[in-house]
Amino acid sequence: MKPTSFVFRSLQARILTLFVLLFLVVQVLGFSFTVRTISDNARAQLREELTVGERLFGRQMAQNGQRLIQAANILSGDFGFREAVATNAGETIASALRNHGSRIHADITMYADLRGKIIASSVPAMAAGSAFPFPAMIKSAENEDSAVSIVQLNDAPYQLVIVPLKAPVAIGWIAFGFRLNDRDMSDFEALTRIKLSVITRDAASHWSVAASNFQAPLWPELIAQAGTNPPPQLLMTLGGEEYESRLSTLSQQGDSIAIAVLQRSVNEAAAPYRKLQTTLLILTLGGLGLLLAGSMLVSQRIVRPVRELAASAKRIEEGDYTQAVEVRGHDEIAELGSALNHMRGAISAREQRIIQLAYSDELTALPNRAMFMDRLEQAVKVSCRLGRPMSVLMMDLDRFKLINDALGHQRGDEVLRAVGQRLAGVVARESDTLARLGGDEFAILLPADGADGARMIAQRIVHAMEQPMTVQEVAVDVGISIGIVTAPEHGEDAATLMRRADIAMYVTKRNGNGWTHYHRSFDGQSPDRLSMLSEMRRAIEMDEFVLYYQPKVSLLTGEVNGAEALVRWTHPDRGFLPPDQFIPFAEQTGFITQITRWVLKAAFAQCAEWWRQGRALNIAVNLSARDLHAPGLVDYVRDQLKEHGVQPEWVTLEVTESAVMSDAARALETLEVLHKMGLLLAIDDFGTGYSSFAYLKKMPVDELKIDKSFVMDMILDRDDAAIVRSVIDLSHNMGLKVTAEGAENDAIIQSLVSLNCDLAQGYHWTPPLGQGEFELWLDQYSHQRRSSLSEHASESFDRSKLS
Amino acid sequence: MKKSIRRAVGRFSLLASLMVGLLSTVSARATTLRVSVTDKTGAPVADAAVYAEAVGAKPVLKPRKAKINQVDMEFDPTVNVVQVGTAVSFPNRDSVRHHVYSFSPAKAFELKLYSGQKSKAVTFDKPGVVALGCNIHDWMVAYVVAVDTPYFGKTDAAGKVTLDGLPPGDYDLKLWQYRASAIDEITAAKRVTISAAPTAASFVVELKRGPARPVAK
Repeated sequence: MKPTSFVFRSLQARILTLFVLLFLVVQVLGFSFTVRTISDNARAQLREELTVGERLFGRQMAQNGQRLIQAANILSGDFGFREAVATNAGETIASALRNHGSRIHADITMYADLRGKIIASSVPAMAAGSAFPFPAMIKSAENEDSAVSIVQLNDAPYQLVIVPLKAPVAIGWIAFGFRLNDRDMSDFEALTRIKLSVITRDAASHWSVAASNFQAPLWPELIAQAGTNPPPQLLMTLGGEEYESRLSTLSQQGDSIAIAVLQRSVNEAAAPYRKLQTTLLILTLGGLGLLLAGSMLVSQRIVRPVRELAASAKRIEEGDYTQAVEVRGHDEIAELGSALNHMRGAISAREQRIIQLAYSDELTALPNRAMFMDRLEQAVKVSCRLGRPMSVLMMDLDRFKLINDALGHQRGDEVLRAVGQRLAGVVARESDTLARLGGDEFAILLPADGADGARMIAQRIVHAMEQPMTVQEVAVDVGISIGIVTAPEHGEDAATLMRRADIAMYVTKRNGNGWTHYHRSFDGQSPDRLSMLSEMRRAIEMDEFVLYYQPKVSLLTGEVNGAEALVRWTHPDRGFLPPDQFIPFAEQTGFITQITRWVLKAAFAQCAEWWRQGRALNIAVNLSARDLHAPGLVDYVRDQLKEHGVQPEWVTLEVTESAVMSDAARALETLEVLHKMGLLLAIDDFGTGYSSFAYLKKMPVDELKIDKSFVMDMILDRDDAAIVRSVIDLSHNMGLKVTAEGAENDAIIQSLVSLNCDLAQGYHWTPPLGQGEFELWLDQYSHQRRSSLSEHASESFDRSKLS
Repeated sequence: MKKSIRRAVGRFSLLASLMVGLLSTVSARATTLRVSVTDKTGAPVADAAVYAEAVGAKPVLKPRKAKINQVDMEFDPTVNVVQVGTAVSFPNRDSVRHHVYSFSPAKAFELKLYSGQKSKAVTFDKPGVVALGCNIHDWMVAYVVAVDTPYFGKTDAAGKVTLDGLPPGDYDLKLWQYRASAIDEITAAKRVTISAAPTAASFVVELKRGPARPVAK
């Protein structure tokens, strides 16, 4: 599992993602809602402020007016003033007005009589005698005793106050005018933070700013937006800043109008909210951080046990059952943990059972081939890596089939069990593995032993097996053949080692020498050999083998009194195979015993047939060393003689010197038995081995066959001739008949006759022939002989005519 | 300068009172003029100065005296109709001082802070309405209606006044009410012809202001 993909697939990441997303959604909704609420609030507050400001402005104007009225009243109540105004004319009144007006900082002073005619005025445009321009104010003052209003004078806004001049009853109206100025605006702004402007439109529809908190450069913008008869509430932009604005008409006379513009900076009003937004954002981020940490902690607490469970499951998957899952608490995860523990136990138990079944042999309770191969492969790896030798002993029981056949399978199994126990007794070390590979085949793995150790173990095994064994009250003689290989010398993989151990074991079997350590020379053409072996097996089954016969001619009588049966193989693919192409191999592998049995059977049958036909021929069959050592040969021969009704003396068994010498005692024992049975025995290929006549003396032999190599050369080589002569003489002295092989021409025959050799066989007469041809040849030869005999009737046998 | 004026006024008042004495002796044939004044709602209007000026005749007026008291920090009476040349004294019956003044063109004067009943008399020697005030008690207002005829009066609470001793003839009957008119106006006027029998006349006036209301003193 890649770590990156793990991150995205992990439960923790999912939990985190979910939490964070939910949080973000909530926060974003909340944030946007708050921001919008704030913004709405800010607007609403702004409007509210403006409304309040407007009211405040109105009240301020009213209070201002009241203040001015009071001031004017006080002024108009001044006795001197009253006297001056009431009792004097134009200029005096005007000066008195100016004088008193300046006391209350009035910008304009006027005095009108009760009928609204101006008597004195500081405004040039409203000279004495003209009508007071604001008659409505007089009307109002008549009722209220005073009046105050914003008015337009000279296109400028004034707060105008009218009070009666009482003497003591009203005799005229005094008007004081106060121009609205920037200072009033500033006062108002200081009080309310509202920018205040008064804009006016003159009779010529020309707009101007009468007073403003704004700097003069912004006035055109103000006029442009406020001087277009807009709705009383609007948003203006001045100098790039937004202002929530409120328009309020102060006064209107005809076309002339004065409008108060109250404005509040949106930015300024929103500033505290912006701070709130920042705080909110910080809180959100902080919350996110806390959430991440918190949910990581929570998910960690959920995920860690899950991961631990997953790790445990993985361990179980990998076959490690040793570690129990740690179960904490009583929650669902703990339940899962203990369930996992139960499962672990159950799987472990089952696996043990399966391993037991898969890797052990039921009969012997030893490890089986599979387990052996496993361990071998492991051991080979270790051995090769460390360069430390290890060995394998492969073995099978000699003659087990016989035991099985003789005692029955049940006892056979008992034998195998007993053998297993014996072997186990030898292999005491824990590290070593004894296994039954199948059938009567056992193997021992010695993972730490080289050649010497392996040989020692092999020796012990051989010794152990020599001890008498009794199975169900029957004494069983069990031999064992061991092949040894040592790694890495003999191979660096299990298969090679096993094959070579097998080969070594066969070598042992062939030699009957207990154990054999593998040698490279054994290997030859192993694959060929193996296939040859199976082909030979098939050959026996399919009767591909045939017998050829070579006549043995009596040099004394000229009669054919015997024939050597020679096996030939008509191979379905390779055609006719001479014996030297498969007999050596058969001998090496031990298969020769099978062939020999076939030959014996076939030869006996033919012999019996010939005797029935009146051909009194002694049949000669070759036995190999393995035949002599193989158990059951004697029994087989006896059975076959009986079966085919062949007299023992009709049969000559030919053995080579070396066959006897390889295990002389045993061979001799066998030969003795056969000889006693009445079979004739011959030493074949005499002269090629190292046997001595002294030894020969001990053997129950009837005949001696001189190897053809001596015979063929005897004419040319005097030494060979001497040898042949000596052998013949000595044999005769020991009472043995002598047969010369390789009698290829007349000269040899003449020579042999002169040396009193008893029998000869060779190409001079005929090479080995198949049964039919041989019989034909035989008939022909008999015929020739008979006619030759009738020619030389009563003549003693002319040996020269043998040819 | 003011002293000499007052002396002159005093002399004139004396003369005027002598002339009134003369006239009364020759009023045997005289008759009365009953005038009633209502407002537009028909309610009687009190304190209306009503006077009749004989058309084409210059009346001979003898000096007379009148008093305008200051009681409870009010002028009493509020409306005083006097013949031109009447010397009006302003007895102060309050414990506080008063400062009576007038800026009216018909008679501007000033009686500086004083107390007691022995005030100087002021002779109203020109016809016209004079508004009187007290400089230290702004609410105190009184009117002196100086008329150039011996036939005058003011309506009572029922809005009626009777002018006596009018010889038959044509008269300009004039009316001034302080709630209806400024001091330099005449509220109403009409010509009436007086015969031997008593004559009646009526006015309907528009009251622009409320009655002089009492102010907390």
